[in-house]
Formats: sequence, C-alpha cells, structure tokens
Amino acid sequence: MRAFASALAVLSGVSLIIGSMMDGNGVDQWLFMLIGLLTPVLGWLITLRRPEIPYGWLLLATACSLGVGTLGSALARHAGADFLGNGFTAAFAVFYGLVWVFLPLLFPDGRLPSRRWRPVAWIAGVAIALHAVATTQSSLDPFKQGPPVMTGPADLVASMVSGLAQMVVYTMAIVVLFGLVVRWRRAGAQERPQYLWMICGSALGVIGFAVVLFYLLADHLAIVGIGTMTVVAAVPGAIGVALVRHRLLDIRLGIRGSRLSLVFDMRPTVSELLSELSPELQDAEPGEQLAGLARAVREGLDVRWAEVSLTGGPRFTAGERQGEATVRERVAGGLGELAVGEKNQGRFTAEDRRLLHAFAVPVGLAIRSAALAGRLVNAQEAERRRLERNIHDGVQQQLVALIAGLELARASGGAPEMLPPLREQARQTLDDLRELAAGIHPSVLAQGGLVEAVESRCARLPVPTTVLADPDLRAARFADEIEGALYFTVSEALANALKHAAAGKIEVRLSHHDGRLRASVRDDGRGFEPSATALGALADRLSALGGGLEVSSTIGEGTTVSAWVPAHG
Amino acid sequence: MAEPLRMVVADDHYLVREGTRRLLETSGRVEVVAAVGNADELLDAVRRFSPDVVVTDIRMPGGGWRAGFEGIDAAHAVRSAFPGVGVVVLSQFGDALYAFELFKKGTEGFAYLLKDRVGDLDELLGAITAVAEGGSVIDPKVVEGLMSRREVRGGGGSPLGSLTEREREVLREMARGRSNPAIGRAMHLSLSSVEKHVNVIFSKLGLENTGDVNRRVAAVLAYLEG
Repeated sequence: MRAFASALAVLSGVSLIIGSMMDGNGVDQWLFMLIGLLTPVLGWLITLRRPEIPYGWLLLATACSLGVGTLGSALARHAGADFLGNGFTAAFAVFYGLVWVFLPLLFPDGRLPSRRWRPVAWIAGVAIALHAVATTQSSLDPFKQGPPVMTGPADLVASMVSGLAQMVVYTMAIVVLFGLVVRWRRAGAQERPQYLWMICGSALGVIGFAVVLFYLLADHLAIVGIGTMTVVAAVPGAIGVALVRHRLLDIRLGIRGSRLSLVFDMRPTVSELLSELSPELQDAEPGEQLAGLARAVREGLDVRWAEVSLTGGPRFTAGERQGEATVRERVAGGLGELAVGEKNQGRFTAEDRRLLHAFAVPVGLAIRSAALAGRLVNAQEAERRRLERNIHDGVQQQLVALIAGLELARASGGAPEMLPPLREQARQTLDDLRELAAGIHPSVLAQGGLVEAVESRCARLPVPTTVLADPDLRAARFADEIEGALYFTVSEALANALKHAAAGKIEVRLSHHDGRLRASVRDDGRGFEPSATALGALADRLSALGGGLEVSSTIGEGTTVSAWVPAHG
Repeated sequence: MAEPLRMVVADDHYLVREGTRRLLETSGRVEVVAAVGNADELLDAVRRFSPDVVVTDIRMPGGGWRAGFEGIDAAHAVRSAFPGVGVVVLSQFGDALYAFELFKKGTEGFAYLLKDRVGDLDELLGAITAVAEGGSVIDPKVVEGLMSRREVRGGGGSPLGSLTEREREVLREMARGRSNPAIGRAMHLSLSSVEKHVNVIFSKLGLENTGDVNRRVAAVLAYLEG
C-alpha cells in the first residue's frame, strides 16, 4: 500500500516537473511546479499514515491527473495535438472535477456527507467523464491565442460537449461549496476551522477559474497565470493548512523536541500505541503494567489525565486528576474501570472513543492479572495464618503439656512408670508435626514426583482410595509449581471429600496427554455446592499457570474435581 | 555376654546425634566408636574404625550427595565397600518412596526405621543386632505405608484385598524382616500355623515361597512396589 502511494506520488511529481520544464524556465513555471507539488506531497503523507482513509488516495489521484495533464498539455504544445498529447491533456478534466467537486464534497475523510449528495456526485462524475472524453477528441487548446480553429464537425461537437460538461462540473462545484458552508455551520468546535479553510480553498478555486475564463477571453495572460495557480493551489493549500493547524484526520505537522528538522508528529494509530506498549508490559509487575497503561491512554488520547482503577482497590493515575471524568469505561467485567479527563485540545470525538475502547482490552487483561495476583497473595496470607493457628493449637500445646509432664515426673521423684506415657506423648507430637510438614510441602513430592506423592497421600487416608496413573507418568517430572499446584488441588479435593462429602470411596486419576497434565478426584459422597469450598484459591493458582479447575457436584451422587495445567516433558 | 557391637552414629543434628549415642551406650550392648555430622565423615569413620553397624540419619545436607538422599546413598556406599557392616537408616519419612530407595539393591544388612524408634531402645537394639548379622528390618509403620500404597495403586482390585486380617498381619511381619519363629513369637502362634499362613499368602499373591528370610523380604517388597 505504502509503496503504491509512493509510486503514485512520484509519478505525479515527475510528470508535473517534466511538463512544466517543457513549457519554459521562467519564474512562473517554477512557481507552478512548486504549487503543483503540494497535492502529491499531501496525498502521500495522508496515505502513508492513514492508508485506510480514502481521502489521501483521492488527493493522490488529483495529483496524478494534474501531473499527467501538465505533461499532456506540454506535449500537445510541442508536438501538436496528437493522440498522446490530447489524451494526457484530458487528465486536466479529471483534475478540475476532483479539485472542484470531489475534494470539497468528500472532505474531510473521503466519505459522502450524506446520501442526499449522491446525485451531485453522480452528475459530477458523468460530467467529468464526458469532459475528459470530449477533450481527447477536440483540438481546442484553451491556451492557444487567437480564435479557435476547428478541423471538422466532430471536432466542433467534441469541443461543445467538453465545454458544456466543464460548465456542469463547475456548477456542481458551486453547489458543493454551498454544502460546505452548511456543514461548517453545523460542525463542532474542533471541525469548524477545518471546514472554514476548506470553504476558503474551494471558493478561491471556483473564483480562480472564473478569473481565468474572463481574462483568457481578454487576453490578459499574466492574470490568467495567477488564476490558474489559484485553481491548482487553493484546495490543496486549504487541506494543508487544516492538516498543519487543525489536526485534520489526526495528523499533525510540527517540530518535535530539540530537533530542528521538520518532522511529522502524527497521532499514533491504535495498533502503533499497542505495539509500543507491549515491551513495557511484558515483564512488568501488575501494578507497573496498570500505571504504564494509564500513561499510554493519557498520551494516546491527549487528555489531561487518565486513570486505571481496580474496583475497591488501588488506582493508577497518569497526570493530575482534576474534576470529574469525561468518559468512563468499565473493563474486565466490572473488575475495574478506565476513566479519562478532558482533552488537552478540543472535545472528545468518535475516534477518541474508538481509541479508548481499544485500550480497554489490554487494560482489562492487566486488571484481571492484577486481581489474580492480589487474590494469590491473599490466599498465601490466609494459608500462613492457618499454619500459624495449626502449630499454635497443635504441636505447641502438646510440647507445653510434655514439659509439664516431665516437670511433674522430676518433682515427684521420677517414678519410672510415669515416663512411657510421656514418650508416647512426644511420639504423637512428632507424628502430628510430620503430618503438618507434609501438608506444607511433602518431601516425597520434591523427591518422588506427583504420582508418588499422590499415592503417598492417598495411602494415609482412612477411606478406600484408588490412584490410576498413566504408566509413563510415574517417572515423569515437571516444574515444581506445576506438580505443587496439582498435588495441593488433589489434596484439597481429598480433604473436602472426607470432611464435607462423607465419601465412602475415592478415585484419583492422573494423566498426561496433548500437553496437559490432568488430575481428577471423584468421590461417591453426598455432593456439595461447588462454590462453598476452599478450591477457589487453588483455581487461581492453576489459572496463574495457564490451567484450570472444574468442579461438578450432584447432591447425593458425589463430586468430581478435575484440574489441568499445560505441561510438556 | 557377647562383645559389644562397635558402632558409628551419623546425624547432622547435634542433640539427636549425642542423644542417640548416649542412649545406645547406656544399654551396655554397643560401643559407639564415632559420632559424625555428615555422609562424608560417615564414610571416613567407617574406613578408620571398621564398625559392625552404622546408624545414620536419612537427610544430612552437604557434600556431593543427592539432596535429601544423603543417608541412603551413604548406606549403599558403606555396604558396597564394606559388605560386613550393617546399616540402620533413621528417617523422618514414612513414605514408601524412601524405603524402596534404600532396598532397591537388596535388603540384606539394611534397616529402615522411623526416627521415633529412638524412643524404643529394645526395638532399636533389635534392628542393630539384626543388620549386624546380615538381616533386614523395616519399621512397621513404613510397612503399613507400603501396603496402603500398594492398595491405593489402581489397575483393578489389588490381591491384597483378598487377604484375611490375620494373613495381612503375617505379611507385615514378613515384610519387616522377621523369620517364621520370630513371627510366631510376636503373634503368639505356633510355628506350623505361621508356616500355613505364609503359604496361603504366597499363593494368593502369586509369589514363590523361599526358605531364605532375606530373599523372602525382597520378594515381598518387590510385590509391594508393584
């Protein structure tokens, strides 16, 4: 696309330059050349940045017709009105049509303002085509001085059609000009100056042609030249000003930073903003990610401030928050919100909304992961508290009792029959501690792997339990976090089956295929409401590993908990 | 009374090491010739003192040994360099994994006891004496773990389920390394009824009976490992 746009711009530029050089080397030719180059440059810039907008292509087409037309008229003048010269000159007809009717009509984005304009577009289109075709058949040269010389009736007809068609196009241009005035009056504050410039350009172009026509008849060639240049330059000039000063199509021209060279400081597109963001987000902590996204939203939308917040949680603001949010967007299914303040310039446009909407996607993802990280941290805290309570209420109390017992034995003279119960008590404490340590992290999991650890866990259950494992899984080892997540899921599911479901039989299945390591625990207990378990924290742990958890429970028929994690190896 | 057995005690925890040493010496039946803190020192002490038995902790961080298996690997190293030395491994873990790890190259001269056995001097001395004579001993709790694991291991009904309660008890005793007369004494059974139970068990599990206690333990363990 870009190469094509560049090719079109070069084609029009080169033919324009060659055409004008053939016509002489005067100051007026140079001026014409410079003015003429405005259109291809503008067209090229817009298509380069926003190839999806037809307006840039329209400008390039205008430039091409101008370039080819200039070349054609020069050829016709030097080599006579032969086929090539006339054919090329016909491109001028297209140029007039585009610059008078279609550039103003389709301003600013290349779309018709409304369906009511369709007849105007059709009439103008047909007239332009007639004008162009007739021109190729006519030997009339508007720049040739003296009365026109007709070579035959066909020539006469062609010239008549050509002139008539041009008049129709011209009339349509005036209609479109009035349309522009109406649109200007209805436009918002940001678009108004753009329309005003276009009205000026379009009016100048129309007036310029009138001047050309009038003084051509009066043989005032200098004024004709000025008029021609006005026709050629007015509309593209207006577009250029709208572009530079009023951010037409969100494209801006200016000096960036301390660099003296002129650069095109253009508003980045959504995909550019997102791809610039990705390296920043890649290794960042959830908090940094959200802060980075808030900054990107602020820059991308050019607003005073932007804020990403988690519902009932932290807020990340770029810029200084003042006043109410102009626009809010709920993200991640209500887990968070994206809010922005006023724009630095102008008002919120539909384009801004589109951009905000696009940002909502990565913001939503980052909020989901931040919420997940938050829940994991909470779960870890809760687990620590549970362990502390467990140690405090269990082993610590047993040891206190043991010390008291030993002291009693000592104080009472150390009767030998007092000691064996104390030893039993100590042994019980050791058993409990062993069980507790295995609950925190069983050494057999680290040493023997998932299947061994699950079998070991099941071997200590008071209920008949079966472990079915893929044979090749027995020797397979996976990353610690994967084995840990699945082991503790199985362990929790077993605990649930015993505690809540009063299961009489439990079956555990472990398998590994299609890159997924799976564990499922099925019991024949009384079933329960899946939401009411401690499995939530484990679900988070699994989803942090890219896996998932499913619990299906039917009252009276038992429960199946199955977990999976992507794993290779 | 026979000559006291000469022993080396290895444990990375000072209090446990000294406690075990004093406990064993109190009995008057053993003499602790060295008490060391890691697997390298243990091998060094065995080389220097040529003890009859080694009592070692299962986990002693340090050296180039497999982490978590230092005691077991040192036990294998001792037995392969000095086949006459018996080794008792004391473990915090009742999991089957570690017991199988110790017995993977044969049961002769090895004992695997849970650490709480230091609270039962007779049991501990019994294991020490047994390994000194080339026998093998497994902690009853560990045997329980091995049997439960075998039952848990799926694949359609374990034959263990077909054993009577009495037969399971006999199997447990066999797995612990006891001979038929010892089983009879422990369970208050006549030698002939022990032999009858053993035969039934072996035919139910599809194992070949053998008179040799060590080979019998190996067969039972191999069966339990599944």
